[in-house]
This record gives sequence, structure tokens and C-alpha cells, in this order.
Amino acid sequence: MLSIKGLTHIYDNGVKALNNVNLTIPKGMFGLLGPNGAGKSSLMRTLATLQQPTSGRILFSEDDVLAEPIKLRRQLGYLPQDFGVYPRGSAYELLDHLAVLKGITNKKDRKKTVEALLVQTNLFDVRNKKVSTYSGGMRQRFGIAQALLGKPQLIIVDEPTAGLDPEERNRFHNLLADIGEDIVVILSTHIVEDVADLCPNMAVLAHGEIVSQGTPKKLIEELKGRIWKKTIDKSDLTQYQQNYKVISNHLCSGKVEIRVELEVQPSGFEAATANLEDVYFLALNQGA
Amino acid sequence: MLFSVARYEFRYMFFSLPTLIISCLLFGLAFLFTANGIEFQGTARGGNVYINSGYMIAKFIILMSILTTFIIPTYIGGAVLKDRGSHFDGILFSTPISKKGYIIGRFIGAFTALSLILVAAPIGMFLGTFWPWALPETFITNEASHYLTAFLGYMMPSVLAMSALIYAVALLTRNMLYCYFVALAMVILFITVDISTAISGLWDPFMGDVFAEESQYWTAAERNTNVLGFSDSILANRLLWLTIALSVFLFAYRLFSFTHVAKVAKENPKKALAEEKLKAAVDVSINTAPEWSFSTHLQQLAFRTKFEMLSVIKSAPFVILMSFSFFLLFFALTGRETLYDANTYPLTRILLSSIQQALTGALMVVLAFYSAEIIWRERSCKFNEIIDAMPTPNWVFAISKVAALSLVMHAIVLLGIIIAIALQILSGYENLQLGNYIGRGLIYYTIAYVYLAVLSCLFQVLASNRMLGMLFFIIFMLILTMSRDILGVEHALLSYGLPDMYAALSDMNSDSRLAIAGMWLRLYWGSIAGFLLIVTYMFWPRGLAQSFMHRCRQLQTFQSKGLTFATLALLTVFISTGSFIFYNTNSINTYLTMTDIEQSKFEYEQKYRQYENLPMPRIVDVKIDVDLYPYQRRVEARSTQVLQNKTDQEIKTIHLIFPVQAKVISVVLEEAIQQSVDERFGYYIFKLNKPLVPGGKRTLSFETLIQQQGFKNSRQDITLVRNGTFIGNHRFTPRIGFYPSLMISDRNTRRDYGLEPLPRMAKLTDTDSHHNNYVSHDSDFVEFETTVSTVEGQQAIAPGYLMKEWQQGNRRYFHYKMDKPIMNYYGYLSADYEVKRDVWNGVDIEVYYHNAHDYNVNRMITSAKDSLAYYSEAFGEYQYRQLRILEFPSYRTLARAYPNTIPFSEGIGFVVDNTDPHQIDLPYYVTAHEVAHQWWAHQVMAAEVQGGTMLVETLAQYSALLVMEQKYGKHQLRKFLKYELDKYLRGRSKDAEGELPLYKVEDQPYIHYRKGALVMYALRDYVGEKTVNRALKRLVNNHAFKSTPYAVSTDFIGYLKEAAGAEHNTLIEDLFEKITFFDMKVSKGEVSELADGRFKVILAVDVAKYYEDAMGNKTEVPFNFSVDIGLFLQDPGKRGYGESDVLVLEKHRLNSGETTLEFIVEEKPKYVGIDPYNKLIDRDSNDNLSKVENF
Repeated sequence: MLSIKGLTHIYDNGVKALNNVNLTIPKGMFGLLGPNGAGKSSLMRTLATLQQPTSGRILFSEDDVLAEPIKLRRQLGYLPQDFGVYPRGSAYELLDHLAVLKGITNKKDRKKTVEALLVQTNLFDVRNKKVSTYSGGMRQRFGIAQALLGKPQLIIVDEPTAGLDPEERNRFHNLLADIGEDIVVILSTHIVEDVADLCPNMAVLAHGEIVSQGTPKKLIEELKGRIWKKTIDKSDLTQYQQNYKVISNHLCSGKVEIRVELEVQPSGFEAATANLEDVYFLALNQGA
Repeated sequence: MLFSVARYEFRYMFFSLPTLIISCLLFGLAFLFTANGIEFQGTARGGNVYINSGYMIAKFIILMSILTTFIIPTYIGGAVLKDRGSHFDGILFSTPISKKGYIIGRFIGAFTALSLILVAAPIGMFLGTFWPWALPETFITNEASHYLTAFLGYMMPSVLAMSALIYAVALLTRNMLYCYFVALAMVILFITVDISTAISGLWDPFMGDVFAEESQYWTAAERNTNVLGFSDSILANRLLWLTIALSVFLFAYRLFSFTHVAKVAKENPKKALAEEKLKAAVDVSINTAPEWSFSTHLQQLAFRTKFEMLSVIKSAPFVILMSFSFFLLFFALTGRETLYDANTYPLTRILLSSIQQALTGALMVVLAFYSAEIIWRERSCKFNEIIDAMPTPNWVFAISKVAALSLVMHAIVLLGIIIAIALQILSGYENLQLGNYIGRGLIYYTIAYVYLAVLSCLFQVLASNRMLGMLFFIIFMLILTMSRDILGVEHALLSYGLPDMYAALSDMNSDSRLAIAGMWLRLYWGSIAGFLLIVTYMFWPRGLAQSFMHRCRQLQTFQSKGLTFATLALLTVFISTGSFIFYNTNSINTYLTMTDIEQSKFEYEQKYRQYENLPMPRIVDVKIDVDLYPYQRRVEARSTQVLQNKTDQEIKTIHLIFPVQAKVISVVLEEAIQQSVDERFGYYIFKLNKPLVPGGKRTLSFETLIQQQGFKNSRQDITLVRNGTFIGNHRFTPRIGFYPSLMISDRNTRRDYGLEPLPRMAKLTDTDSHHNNYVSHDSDFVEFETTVSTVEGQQAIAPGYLMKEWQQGNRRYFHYKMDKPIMNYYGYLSADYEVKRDVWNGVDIEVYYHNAHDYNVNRMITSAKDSLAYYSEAFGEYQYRQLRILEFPSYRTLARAYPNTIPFSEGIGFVVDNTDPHQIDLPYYVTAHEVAHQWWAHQVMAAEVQGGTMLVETLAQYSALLVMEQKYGKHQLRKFLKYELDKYLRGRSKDAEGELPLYKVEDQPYIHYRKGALVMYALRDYVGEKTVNRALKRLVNNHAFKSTPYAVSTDFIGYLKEAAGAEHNTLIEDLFEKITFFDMKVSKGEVSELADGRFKVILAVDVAKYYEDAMGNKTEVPFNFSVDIGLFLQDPGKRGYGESDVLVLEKHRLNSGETTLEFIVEEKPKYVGIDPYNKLIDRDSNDNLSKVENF
């Protein structure tokens, strides 16, 4: 559906944000996982036609996005990572405004669409309040509402859950889950759960390169029987990191649980169930 | 803490790309100004003032300080607003940074950075003087102190005050927009103070007005040598603004708090039932898919335009902007003074031109600011990423934003129109001419700003930040407006959207032909604006600001039929209107640049000056038939003139120079053959078959034609119009012999062409020139007879008495004949006139006027009668049986005196509102002046030597003053004299070649009119009216109608000295033969009550006298002179002051230095004064009066 070929972007100051990215994204939710600074937003903006890449091609339903951005924009819903709104607009007014810009020029249709989205995103009660006064979660829901306007075929959401509390994040996940499977939804995030919860397909982006891609299930499958964990003292961590390929560590009741990847079980380690986080961290380590 | 904050801020602000660009711009402008100073010489200084003199440095630096308005908000406002923009404020305000450290530290840091940037201006000026290609004669020795005073004393306090104000507003509103509005307010305030006489210069935040007022009388010498300093008014201005800024700053400091309480909307789970129902009714499954067609985009455009316009109208800044504009317009519209501060009736055309005067610069500044606001709207609230990803075409955004800007422009002009109409209704004026308000105001004038709006949007779209966008626009506008002077770009096709291409309006001639060129230009500009709009739309920023190369790559995505079609359509308009304009300016009319004209004058001089001293005959008899075709823009002239050899030599060739605009149909000279014709200069040389002996005569017959077509590149012809033609004879009659006035006269230009400077006028002692008069070099008094024809419905008038009048076909014919010889100086008028007639002592007085302009016709008649009565008694009898005053359109504001015929502009006398009795009666005065020319010009003609205009204009001023005094009393003349004094002092400060004493005046209006009036009035005061008039009568007796020789100024001075006696010799010499200044002031004025109820006044006065040379260098001489001393119950400058307010007004003889005088009077005076009526020339006439102190 959406294919990215040899996409490279170098900023004026020499920073290589994207390095020969090749991706094919099918319909359905696609998770683009990557740490901060990996180039996710650059990729998202480029896909959303807000940035010209240095080289490469993007095709959406066989249309060249860079040559005819307007064609893509007509099918696009985009929720940027960080956005503001006109200071005096309420959610209803702003959605109404954006609906016009999205080509819904019939007044009645627009009213219905906007109201439906307000209900869907649970913003109906506050529809007449200024969006500039919304809390973070409400604002993100407003963001997804506007992205959904006009039945887009491609939805790009850039770091939508960053900074949301668990309850809001949950709500947001539900919203995304409802979007449907017959359109392309790209979710860029640095939070593994987002992808684990939502995405049938994913890729890991690090330092501007795709370091891993596939379905989460398959990727986890590949690690089956190769992940081992051990709880150690915090002071020993450095030593373990030197001796083993430690893919992650996290604190657990004052001690540190480390996870390593190996063909055979190392002594003192117990078997662990592979999860998406392992896939992610492993990909990052390999990329480095 | 404070220091480290300041240091950080300084580094942040100073080391940035905009800093580099702005410093380079300022440096470049200042450098060019000095290095290329010669370009500014003609316009700015007239040639005698050095470009690096204190005066010029101060002027330029003050101008630059106005330009800083565009920079300050970014640097100073940005110092506190950038935290908010980058959401850094949350972190910053939770650190232990102190309020003082933050506010003061940031300000100091940013202000230091700003100051270092602005230093580029004086440095650029200074270094410009070392540019090896600069002309050394434009410089004097650099004085470091001038640069320091101007920069630190004049510029930086303005910048500091503005910075403090803007910083305070940034702290209080936390919104950059309001910072820009403070800046805009300051510029508008500056313009308001500048155009309004009612507001003190104190309120000019940049002190431009104060400095202009202070230096207005500076002579060239003073401009070069005066050390810049701080006079009381400059100091007061600086202190006022620093105080205002400091107070606002302190106020903001008190109010500012780190905790910013944000309003937060909460979800309310317990909503009213109704709301729930509403919600339940919503069909969640609906999500309409868009349909795409061109009409979708049109609807988007309509929606977006409405949105942009409403956002503008509903915003607080718009309200503020409209209040500024109201302020500006109100002052412009209420002060409609013409000459001598006389107020006019609120005519629509006058109000329209006031609106345009007030707004022309202001609207450009508003455009610069507002385009930034509108173009950056989405980006400044960070909504841009969402909006930019929308499937809305760029042109929807571009057009809607330009439309919103146009709305702002129209709203401001409309505000002006509403105020104007309100003023008209309030003053009971009924002829509103709404059509002109709409056509000329809202469309013709404002559309130019719509085109400029497109341009300023383009700059904002291309620039990487709004400040640069504004600067680019302002600098572009500066270059565009000055391109004629600096770049030599003169063709209208190379101009864009300059609204000052103003087509004058006239009530008399309502034909709009003068606007046609402007209309075509507007169409042509419209196509350019269309192209600019397309470029704007193609470069419309979407998403991240990317390098220009990336943006260019994006251009390939624009391929649509619509675009191609629009481009082709615009191209068609561009080419067709462009060619049509070119056809008009270059094909059916001749296009000449300034250089072409200079070159042609140069060649004329090279080719024909050799004939300058060739003996030539003079015209002695003129018979001429003129057919005027006001509708076809055509004049046909057929003439037979008799030439006589008045020299004592034989004449072998006769040269004729026809005006180049006229076509010569035929020319025949009796007993001569045409030897050569030079079409380029209209120069004809005839060889006589046999020489013309002294006293011999020859007949010259010729036929000429003026046929105007289309429009010209330069000013449109305003002499031949539908109703109100007024055309002088030299437009279609030849001159005999080499005509010196066709040579280049400007000294600097002559130098460029390697020519010696020409004397402005022949020396007084050049007795050969005593046989030439100054109105026509090829004739003396001539016999005159003419037949003039015009269209049905109009009357045609020329000097002479109407002998016969008839109609033939649809044309009317008038035959005029003069019974006495006249100067060869006449003109023709034709219009649909009303006539008012009266008789004085057998002299017919007639006023021909436009039927709506009957306001002052009676005043003119009264004045004509009073003048005829006084002049014929005092100077000698009036030579004609008739006196006619004729109105002509206000395209020119002058009155002219032809024999028995006075064309008088619609603009100066006919529409003056004289209902206020304290105002100078302009129609009365101008009529008196022009009637006086029937003596001083048409009886006594002056020789074309120095002092010639004194005998004509100064004496006419004197005569008019006496008639006015008779009617209004001597106490009412103070206002007039003070006005003349001011004009004289201003005039001499601008004289490029230097001042001369009155008796040697070289056609310098500020001397022969202004100083002349003062000198003659003082003379009359000291030697008495009878004595002066005796001398004048003798002048008339000895010189009337005499051409061999003509009168010179020394003739009159001789009669005067004889009449007045030796005791007045010094006075007469001081007044006429020297440039004399009196410095008189009241140093003390005290009053105390005596026991008997009377009052004792002690008055100390200080007097000095000095002479100045042509450049204004002074020499003090002893003062020994009688001067008026007055005690008054009222301020003589006040409205309503009159005879009854005078307690004492008598002359006292005084010597240099201080003198104390004592008076005992019955009533208690409020004011005392020395020379209170400003009869003597005193540079500071305000200290002549003083309020008395009680003891």
C-alpha cells in the first residue's frame, strides 16, 4: 500500500536523519518503534508531505507522493508530535474549520461528521471549550479526531501517547484500535507497549535506519528459547554487561533483572519468555 | 546572577544569522548614504551642505532610528518570549532564578546585543567618507563628536525608550504581536506629529520633529558647522520618552510573575440531561468523505477568506490599529490649511488628498507589520503542521491571506472617508461626491496597496523569519520610491504599486482623463501582482522551513491546467496593458528620461550658444488667432507678428525657436529664406535677402498646432483640459534668437557635463541687460490683438478688450484687442463660467468663476475695488478700463497677472473658508497682490538683472499689505508678518547657491515675496507711508511703459533715499542692501501696582544686530535703532486680539545690549514685547513677547 524506497534525508547542518530507508507498509496498524532522535518524526513528516527528503521515493497506492503531494494529502490524516491550535477556537469550531480544509464543504455533512468524531473521541461534552485550554489527553484526542476527518486512507500519528497517563493512554489505544483495518495507520512511538497492544506489523528505526521489521509475532518467535534472565546486584551490572550480551535491564525490588540473548542457557540464568521489548532492544543493539 | 543571565542573553541574541544580516544592511545603507552622497545632494541638500556635517549625520541617524522599529520587537520582545515559544518557561521559571535577575538581566543582554548591531549605522557613515570613489567635495573633516552625539544622544535614547516599552508589553502580554503593535504605534505617532501642526514635536518618539523644528532656520553654514547638542526641547523630548518608557517598564516589572495560571478546561462527567440526549442522537458511524472538484476549492477559499478576515477584525490589535489610524486621519483631515494657514471648505477632493497624504507612508508600514502577522498566524500558534498537511491547495491560503490584508487596507481608508464625510456633514457641506470617495479613494488609491500587500506577503513567505520579511519589504519600498533619484529608473512600466501616482481632482474639471494613465498602470500592476501571487502560492511554506533549494525542488509538483491557464491569462494582460502603456508613453508621445533631457539641453547649448550675442530683432506687434479644442486636446494658432530691429547693427539672420511640443505647420518670414531647420530643438534659421537695418521691420507669419494624444510617462498635461483650459503663449509661439533658459541651469549637472556654471542672473551693474525685461527676452511692450475660439458652452478669454463675439457652426469666437502696448506675455482660458460684474470709477470688474465656487467672489470684487482705489491714488492711474479675475482648475495653485486679466487657481482663493474672522483673508490678499501687478509689471517693468523681481513682487507684496491693513487694521497683520518671517527663514536655509540682499535678489521667492513684505512693511513703519509712496509714484512716473532702459532696484532705492532723507540711509541700507538680522528679546517684564491705582511696568530688553553673508556667516554690528515697545492686555498672537488690547505701542531708541525701560499705565498689562509685530527680521521671534510677572 505505502512503499518507501531509498529514503534519505540530510539536514542543512549535516545531520543524517534518515539513511536509505526502505519499507513497505500494508493496510492496518503499523508500528514504527524507535528511541528519541532515531528519525521517526523526520520520516513521519516526510510521509505527511511536510518535508522534502534529500533523496528517495514514496509511493502510496502507486502514486508518487513527492511528485503529487496533493493526492496524498487528500487521503491523509496526520497527528503531529507536538501541535498548537488557533488560540480562540473551540474543538467544534476547529474541527469544523479543518473539515472544510479537508474538503467537506457541505454544511450538514460537516456538522454530522464533526459531531460523530467528537462523540467518538469523547470530547462532545467539552466541544465548546477552547482547545488551547485542554489537558494533554484531551488535546491528543482532539488531534486524532482531526486526523480522522474526511475518511483518510493513510493515518500518521507521531508519538501520540508520549506524556499521557495510563488511563488516557488506554483510551487512546482504544480509539486507534477502532480505526479499522482496511486503511494504513502508521503509529510512531518509542513505547513498546503501544506497538505490542496495537500493531500487526512493525519496524524498528534507529539512527535513521530500519534495523528490524516484520510482524511482532514472528519477531518474537525468532527469539523463542534464546532469552535468559537473571536477578543480580546492582553493583555487578557492569561486569555482566562486559561478559554477556545484555539486551535490557530493569530494576526490580532494589535488584536488577537483566536479560540476555544466547543460543544456549548461560549458567545461573533462567529461561525467559521472549517479548517485543526484547526484539526492540536487540534491534537497537544490533543497529549500534 | 544578573550578569550571567545578561551574558547568556547577549550571546544568544548577538551570535545569530539575523544579527549578521541586519548589521550588514544597516552598515550598507549608511555606507552608501555617505559614499554615494552625490546622489542625495540634489534632493536632500541642494549642494552646499556636506554629507558628513553634524546636521546630515543627525538627520540620517534619526531616520535610521525609525527603521529600528522593525528590529526591536524581535530582539527585545524575543528576550522574554522565546522561552514561551519553546516551552522552556516551565523549566526556567522553576529554577531559583530571581525575578530581578531574569527581567533585568535579559533586558540588559538583549539591549546590549541590539546596541552593538545598531552601531553599524554610524560606523557605516563614518567609513563611507573614506570610500575612494566618493566625491571629496561632498565632505568636511569628520568630527567624532557628531557621530557620538547623534548615535548616543539622538538614536539610542529613542531605541532605549522603545525597547523598554516593548519589553514591558512583552512581559505583560507574553505575546509578540503586541510588541509589534507598540512599534507600529510609535511609527504612526511619528507620522501624526510630523503632518500635524497641532501636536507638539515633544511627542515624536524619535525626536525627528523636534530636530526639524530646531534646524529649520539653519543656513548652509550653520548646517555645516553647528555642533550637535541638546537644546531644551531636545532634552525635554528625550527625557519625556525615557520617563514614559521607564514608568511603563516599572509597572510591568511589578506586575510580572513567573507563575502563569493557565486556564484548563475540565471534563464534566455530570452533564445536563439535554446534553446527553444531544450526544445520544449523534450517529457515530458518520464520517463523510470529501468530494474534490474546483468548486470544493472555491468553497474552501470563501470559508478561509471569511475566517482570515474575521480573525483580523475580531482581534484586539485591529482595534488598536484603527484607533491609531483614527488619530492620524483626524489630525490630517481637520488641518486643511492652504497658503497662509487659511482653511478651505471641506471639499471632497481636498479631504481625499489629505487622506492620501496621511496614509501613503503609514499604510506601507501597516502592510509590513500586518503581513507578517497574517502570514505567520499558523506558525506562531504551532497549528501549522496540522494545517499544512491538509489537502487544501496553497492558493486558497495565499489568496485568503492577501484578501485579509486588503481588508485591513480598505478598512483604514474607509475610516478616513467616514471621518471626512462626518466632517463635511458637521460643517454643513452638502456636495459629498460619494462617487469620488469610492472611485478615487477605495478603488483607485487603495488597489495599489492591495498589490503591495501581495508583495509583502511574498517577502514573508520567502523569508525565514518575520523580521527579515518586514525589513526586505521596507527596504524594497525605499528603493522603489527613491529609484527615480538613485537608480535613474523613470519609466512607469518599471514601477510597481506606488500609490503616489496621483491624478489630481478638480471641481471645475470633473473629467477623469488625468487618471487614465493610472488606471492602465493599475491593470498592468494587477497582472504583476497576479504573477507574484502565483510565486507566493508556489513557494507557500508547508511544514518545516527548509532550505531554498529544497523549496525550489518542490516547484515541480505544480503542474495543473489551471495554473497554466492563469499564467497565460496574466501574461496576456501583462503584455497587452504593458504594450498599450508603452505605446502611449513611447510611441504616440516622446519618452525622455532626465538624462535624455539633460543631454538634449547640453547639445542645444553646444550647438547654438554661439549665437547668444547675435543681434536679433524684437517683436513689436502681435496678431494671433487661437482655436482651442478642449475635447480633442488640440490648439491651433495662426499669427502674424512684426519684428523690428531695435539694435544699432544690421541684422542678417533671424533665429526662431519653436516649442518642441508644438508642430510647426508653416512659417514665413518676409524677404527671407529658410536657411536651416533643426526639428529636434524647433530651431529655425532664416537668412534675410537684404539685411534688416536698425529700425527696420519684417513680418513673421506662422501656424502651429498642439495635438495631445494618449498619456505621457511623466506628469500629464494640465493646461489643456475639458473645462478650465489655461495655456500660456509660449506653448505655441516661437521665441526670437537663442533662448538661454533652455540650457542646463543646475550647477552640479553642469559640472557633470563639463560646463561652466551659469550665473543665476545678470549682475545689477550689467547695463546691457537693463534693456531686457524679465518676462520675455525677445520683446518689449507690444501691440496686441487676438481672436480666440472655443467649443459651444464655454467662454474663451485673453488679455484685451472684447471687441466682438460671434458663433460659427458649433464654435464660439471672441475677438480681443488691447489699446495700449503690453508685455509679450499672455495666455488663454476657456471654461463654462458664471460671471459676476461690478464697476469702480468707470472700470469694469468681472469675476469669472465655476458655478459652485461663489464663496469668495464678493471678497475678490471688494479687494479689487479697494486695491484700484488705493493704488491709483498712491501710485498713479490704472491703465485699463477693465479688470477680470478668472478661475482655473486647481492642478496648479497660483494666480497670475496678465494685463487686465488675472487667472486665479480654484485651489487658493475660491474655496477658502473665510468665516473665521481671525484668519488671513486669502482671496482678498491674493487679489490685491495681483491687481498691484497691473502697476508693478505692467506699468513699471523691471530689467532682467539682479533685483528685478524686487520691483515686481516685493512692491506687489507691499501694495497688498497696505490694502489689507486698511481693511483689517494694523494689529491683524502680525499673523501675516509672522508667517512671512517663518517662510523667509525656512527658505534661506534651503537656498543651494546662497542668499543675496533684497536689492540683488536673483528670482528667489523667499526673498522677493517673504523678506520683501517684511522689509517694505518695516520701511513704511520707519519712514512713513507717504514717503514710501512718494518714491513709488516717482518710480511710476519715470519708468512706466519704458523699456529703454527698464527699471532696476537701485532706481527705486535712490528715490527712496531722496524721499526719506539722510537720516534713514542706514536703515534703507540694512533693509535692502544687506542681509541684516536683529536679535531682540524681552529679558525681564515686571509689573507692580502703585498707590494711586496705576501700574508701574519695568521692562528689560536685550538687542543686537548682525549681518550675514550668502552662506550665513555672521558679523555683529552695533545696534542703534528705534524699535516698537508694546504693553498689551492680551497675547498679540492670540485669536481675537485687537486694537483694544493695546496699552502702549511706541518706538524707543535702543543700543546693543540690555536696556531697562519704565512705564506707568492705567491698566495692568499681561504681556510686554519688543517689536511685537515682527516688523524686523529676528531669527527667534518668539522671545520678543513675554508674560509679565507680578510684584
